[in-house]
Amino acid sequence: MSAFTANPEFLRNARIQLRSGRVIAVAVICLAVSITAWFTFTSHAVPLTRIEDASELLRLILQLQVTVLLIGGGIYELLTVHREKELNTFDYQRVTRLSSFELAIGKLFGAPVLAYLVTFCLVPVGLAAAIRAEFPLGLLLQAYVIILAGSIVFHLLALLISMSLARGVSAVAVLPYLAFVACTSIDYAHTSRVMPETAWTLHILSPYAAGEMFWRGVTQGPVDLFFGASVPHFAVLLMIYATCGGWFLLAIIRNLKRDPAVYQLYSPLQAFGFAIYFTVLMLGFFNWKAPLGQPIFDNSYPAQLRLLGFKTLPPQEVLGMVLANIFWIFAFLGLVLFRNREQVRRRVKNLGARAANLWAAFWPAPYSLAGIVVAGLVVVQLIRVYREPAPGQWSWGLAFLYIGFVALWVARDLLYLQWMGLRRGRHPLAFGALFLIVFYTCAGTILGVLQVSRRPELAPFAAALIPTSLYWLQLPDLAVRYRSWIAALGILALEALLFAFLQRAKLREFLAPAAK
Amino acid sequence: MIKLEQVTKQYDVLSQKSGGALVAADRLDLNIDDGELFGMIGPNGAGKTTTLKMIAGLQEPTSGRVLVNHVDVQRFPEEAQRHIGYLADFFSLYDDLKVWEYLDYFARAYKMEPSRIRSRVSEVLQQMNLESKRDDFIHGLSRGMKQRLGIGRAVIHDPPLLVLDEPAAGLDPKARVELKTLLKQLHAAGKTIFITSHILSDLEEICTNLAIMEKGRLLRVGTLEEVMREGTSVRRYRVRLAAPGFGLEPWLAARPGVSAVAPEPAGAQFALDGGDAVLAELVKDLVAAGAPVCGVQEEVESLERLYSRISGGEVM
Repeated sequence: MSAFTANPEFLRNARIQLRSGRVIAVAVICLAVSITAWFTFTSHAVPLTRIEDASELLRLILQLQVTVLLIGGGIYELLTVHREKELNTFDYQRVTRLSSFELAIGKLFGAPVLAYLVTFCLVPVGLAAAIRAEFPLGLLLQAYVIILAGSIVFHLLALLISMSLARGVSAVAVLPYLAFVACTSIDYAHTSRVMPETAWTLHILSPYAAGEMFWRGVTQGPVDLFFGASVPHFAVLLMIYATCGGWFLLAIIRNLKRDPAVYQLYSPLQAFGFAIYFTVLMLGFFNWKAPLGQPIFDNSYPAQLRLLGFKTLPPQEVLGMVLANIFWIFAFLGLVLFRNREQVRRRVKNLGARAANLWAAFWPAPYSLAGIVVAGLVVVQLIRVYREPAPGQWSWGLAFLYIGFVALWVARDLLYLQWMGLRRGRHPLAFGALFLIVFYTCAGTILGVLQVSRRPELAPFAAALIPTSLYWLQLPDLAVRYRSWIAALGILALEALLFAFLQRAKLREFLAPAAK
Repeated sequence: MIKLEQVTKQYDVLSQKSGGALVAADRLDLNIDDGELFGMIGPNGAGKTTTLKMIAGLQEPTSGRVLVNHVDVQRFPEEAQRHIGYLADFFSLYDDLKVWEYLDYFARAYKMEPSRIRSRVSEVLQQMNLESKRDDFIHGLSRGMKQRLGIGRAVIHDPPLLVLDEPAAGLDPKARVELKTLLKQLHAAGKTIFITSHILSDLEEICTNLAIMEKGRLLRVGTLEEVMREGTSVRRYRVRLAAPGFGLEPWLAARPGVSAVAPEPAGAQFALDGGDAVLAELVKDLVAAGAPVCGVQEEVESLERLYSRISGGEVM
């Protein structure tokens, strides 16, 4: 406790948010909510058992506490640095002797301190419900550990977003944060009669998992599968929260007190490590052992009956599915490593001509390329071990073609975006991304209308523009048109080289005034 | 106390006039000694605020080095910042805090000894004449009080260097006088002060040293006297005669080193190339020639006139 009160930033937030009038108001409101909820659930119109009543109430209270912390506290956290930048008070914090770590911790626990108070005030009714429902208190403790640890991680993410935001876009930042909360609150391992297997073996990742532990009297937490081994979901959550929290905190303390013009979330090796960590998680929680499947839909039936069954995926589709996720992980890695004009200027001043050498011209593609190739080879090996594909289902040539296309695809787009990002303009990177979206929309529409991707003789040409054509490639076609596909891969490599060349030309422009 | 070594800061702008590139600080070299009250003047966009922010460690230079008290600001920002009290060119305080809480927060953030904080807050409140507002919320303070509180925040950890960006901006005349007095007191107490201002008369009155900045470059640097005379040894004088009849204008025009002689009703103005000794010689000869000299006065150019003469006042 003294560590908190000794942190000036936490103390400042607490002084502003926890003035006595506000604390009393929160306590009274929480008391009223608790009493109302208690009587509503214990005097149910439809008679349930005492245990069912109480477990319903406990679940509701836990979900309420999570919502207050994740949404309420998260929004406070999203505003904390950004609002200070808008008010011009953040510079004064930056010139103090508080370290980035101290400032980050002060903001992490200080900004949502009111949300913590609300959560704390709702604990007694949750405890009473747990006792009435005869739940083991150890399980309740686990639930609160999940809520607390999970909220800290989500708040760290919100703080990271808040720090990285440009002025005037705080409202926009709420949407991706809420989307992230929603995505991580889905139970990806939820099975049913029509879908007995799922692609992922990970239950709810967000702190909403705490409420699900008590659903309808369940007294044992769920279990996840990590590379096929059963692991209690509680342990998985703790591991993921601890590691993700560490990664987010690292990015915050690396940058919080720096000049925003030279923010760089991670060093290249750290970013590469983060991407590999994320890839390991993704591969670990993929349902390798089970006969992976996807739901079968039939639109001719009414909406509630459309899901008709479960189709097992062939290994080739599994490879495509996993590589699609790897694509996004390493594309994000490239985005983190992007250099802006100020960073390039500083490199030019410090390194001279070396700032425009070949390595710089290919930045940041080598990291993404290497990552995808390594991850892709691991995926191929995992498919071989876990799925043991039959010869007719699988071809090594096809697997390597997939990996090559995905790696060069990411490299091409990253090199294009990096080149665009070095152009002079108000938001050069945003414009680069916009042009890329326009390209994909136009090319996708034209190729789709002409059905180029589905025509085996034309598909390689389409893949040189948009490599998703590869997903329609059948093994017999590959054997016939292997050279066309290799040529398409070569064209994709040439496209990447073109953008590397353009980037080098742009870097030499920076070099020119420095040489004067 | 402050040393800038070839400090450059470049930005991107979309201004056609500048061709898209802006050099807010262009290879600046500057030395500010301990105890100076150093003023920097220049038009909007000259690069003053950027320079101040680089000194305070808030912006990293594109190239070059900034030292504060022999500490490299870029490499050891937290160490450098213990020597700096910074005030930005805008009022930005935490309105929901009380006056004493605000100072207490920054005293803790500067890692002062906890046992000293209470007395230091009282001391600063007294120094800033804000004792009566101690328990008031900041949102209720006047602009002048907020500015004094801002300066109080900058001095709370008793730094040897104060970096103040346009502290007089937006203040009424009374508050400006109070601010000037406060700055003089802080200077007298041994603080080195680096200040920018648009109010040149204020700077002229309080600064020991000055710099004129434009388009990211320092046009002139030195003591007020050096800045006024830099680049030439020619000074302008006005001589007054007690009675008419002496041919002052031709006498002066014939004198070596004298130029730009302009007649006046009871005397003349002229420019003289040389220092005090040359002037003394001239006055002695003039009296010996029979001129009834009753006064000789140096015509000092005001800072505002000098500034408008040497600065294009062009905003990049």
